[in-house]
Amino acid sequence: MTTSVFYASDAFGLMQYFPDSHTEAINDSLPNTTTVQNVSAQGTGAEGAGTGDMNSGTLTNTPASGDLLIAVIMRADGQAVTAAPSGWANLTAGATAGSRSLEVWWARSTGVSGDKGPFYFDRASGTAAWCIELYSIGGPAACSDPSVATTSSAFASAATVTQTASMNNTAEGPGMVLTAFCVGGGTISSISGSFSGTGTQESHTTYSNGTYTRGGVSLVDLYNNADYSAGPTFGTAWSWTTSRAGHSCSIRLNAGGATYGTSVNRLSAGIGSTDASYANALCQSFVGFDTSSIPDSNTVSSATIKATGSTTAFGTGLGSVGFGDPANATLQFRYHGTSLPTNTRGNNNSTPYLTKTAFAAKTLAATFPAASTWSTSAENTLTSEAALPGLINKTGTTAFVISTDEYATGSAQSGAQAYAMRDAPTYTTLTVVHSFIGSATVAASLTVTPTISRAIAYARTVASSLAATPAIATVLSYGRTIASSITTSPTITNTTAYLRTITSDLTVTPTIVTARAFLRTIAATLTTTPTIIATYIPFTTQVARIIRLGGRSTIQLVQTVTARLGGRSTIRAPKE
Amino acid sequence: MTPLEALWAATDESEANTARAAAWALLEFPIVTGDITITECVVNLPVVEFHGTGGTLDWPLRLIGAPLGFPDPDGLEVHPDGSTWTTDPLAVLLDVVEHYR
Repeated sequence: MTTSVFYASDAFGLMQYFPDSHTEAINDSLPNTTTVQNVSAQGTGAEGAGTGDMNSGTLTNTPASGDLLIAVIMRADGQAVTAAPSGWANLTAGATAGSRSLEVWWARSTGVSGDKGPFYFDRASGTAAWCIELYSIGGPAACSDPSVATTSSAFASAATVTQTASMNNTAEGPGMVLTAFCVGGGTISSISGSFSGTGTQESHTTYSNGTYTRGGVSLVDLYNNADYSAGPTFGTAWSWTTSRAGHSCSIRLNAGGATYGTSVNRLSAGIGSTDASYANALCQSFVGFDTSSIPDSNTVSSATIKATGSTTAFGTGLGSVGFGDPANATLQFRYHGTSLPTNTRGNNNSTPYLTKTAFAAKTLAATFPAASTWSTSAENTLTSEAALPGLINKTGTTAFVISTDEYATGSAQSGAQAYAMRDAPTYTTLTVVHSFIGSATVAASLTVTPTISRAIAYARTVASSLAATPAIATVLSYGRTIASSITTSPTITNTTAYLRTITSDLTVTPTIVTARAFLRTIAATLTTTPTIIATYIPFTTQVARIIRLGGRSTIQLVQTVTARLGGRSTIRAPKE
Repeated sequence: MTPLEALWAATDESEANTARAAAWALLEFPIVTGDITITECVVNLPVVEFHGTGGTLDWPLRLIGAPLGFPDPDGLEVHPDGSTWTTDPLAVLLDVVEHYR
């Protein structure tokens, strides 16, 4: 037996934030990828309250429940929105009298068909409307309510306007930035402008209303799984260069995108935090152990996971996020597979975060019961599930995903219930007891010649290769059939009193218990011994040779024979 | 430079393993703790295998990917991230075996 203690070879923690107003992400309704649906309308239609063709926008598809609805409205003559659809709120509005105005409104979809529009943003009668950009944003970037980074404000003609909209990571997870510009004056053809960006951690998509270039909107697509410790800034220095004066603003789509902790090795699992600002934080972690040093031939008899507790999973800048009253839920390590998910910090807003359904589908490997006392400074030993030894990968990594039972079941939680763990490579271990348990291995090829121990004097010939059917020359009345294939069980047709059992697999040398007199193969060379009809007794000096012929013996000499009697030889004939 | 600092300063896996091996070479045997006696160790990184007797564990004991030290507020070894550490492979070992005494 060998006891192997594996220290974590790879680990990282994830966290998502959810404001009180939007917690359905906990319930699988929020995809891990941010989606944007957009429609723009433009023109110079006449105003009619509630019906003007340039007052409204209609999305192609019905937004999902919880999606964020954003309307960017660009108008002439400095006209403001006079009436907005029900449920919509203004984020920012700015205008230059007699020239242009730029307003941003938002609402939250309830998933009904009416939430795709049309939405009417009324204006004063007789004024011109340039365009409206309507968005439906789903996914992590829609978790939180949007907030204004830069209010709608004027810029001069021919200026290069830079909008800085760094996300406030300490308050919210990174999401997206929406920057909007509206220009006016002169003829349409004389207006030109384009977005450019110098930010290093974002990509962006420009939504510009085509040939009617009065305005433009850029959605900056952020890293939502950014490492907080790297101090990223998002949406910086995106600028709009135009030959005309205009208005611009930037909006934060603060969101519950996942983020990593200060150390990628810090782990946390559960929901909530002792920090009230993160009451709806969801923490989930991944840890892997390189268990390839266990010999393939070994059998794992037990496995145990140990983790050292902490009161802070995500430290610097995030306070005690990732820890809060672990006694409210059971910690669960579930088998993730033979590798950790890709730890890519991309800008596609896609995270490896497992939804509760995906988490629950993983095999439960070990738990720390809620009723137990979780040490926040010492090592905690988890209770292994029966399946854990069988999950150990002897050829590579054994990976686990960590969360709580209530996340797996989707139970409504009250208050914090999060476990924080110290740096995994030092403080999270997997102990495996394993050993080599030999098992009889029968050679696939039976090339050896079995020995028949009781051959006695009756030689039998057994084929050297068991690939052929051994021939028993003399079976007499006790016929036996030995199958030609050694993979099947030979059938012994008449066992009667001479029962022999030949094992179904020829892994042992069959023993013929009773050979007796009924199995003889007389060697061909054993010719009969010719009858001795005369005995020649060689002469030996001084040794008398006596040939006695008793009874009616006859000596018949069929050829010319000379009998010499030397020494004291005597021939006595009966009745002589 | 301590083995831990050498490990952090390593530029490739070979240098890192040299630092790790040097750290485990600091141990002197036998090591006795409770009813456990550890007589020797064989370093074949990332596996460090200890042979011994006693306790409730199944010998030999292997540590795979074990750290060379612990975070230590008073430590003199400064990690690149600014945290302070102490090289202490014996403490790492004893931290494991204490569960089996």
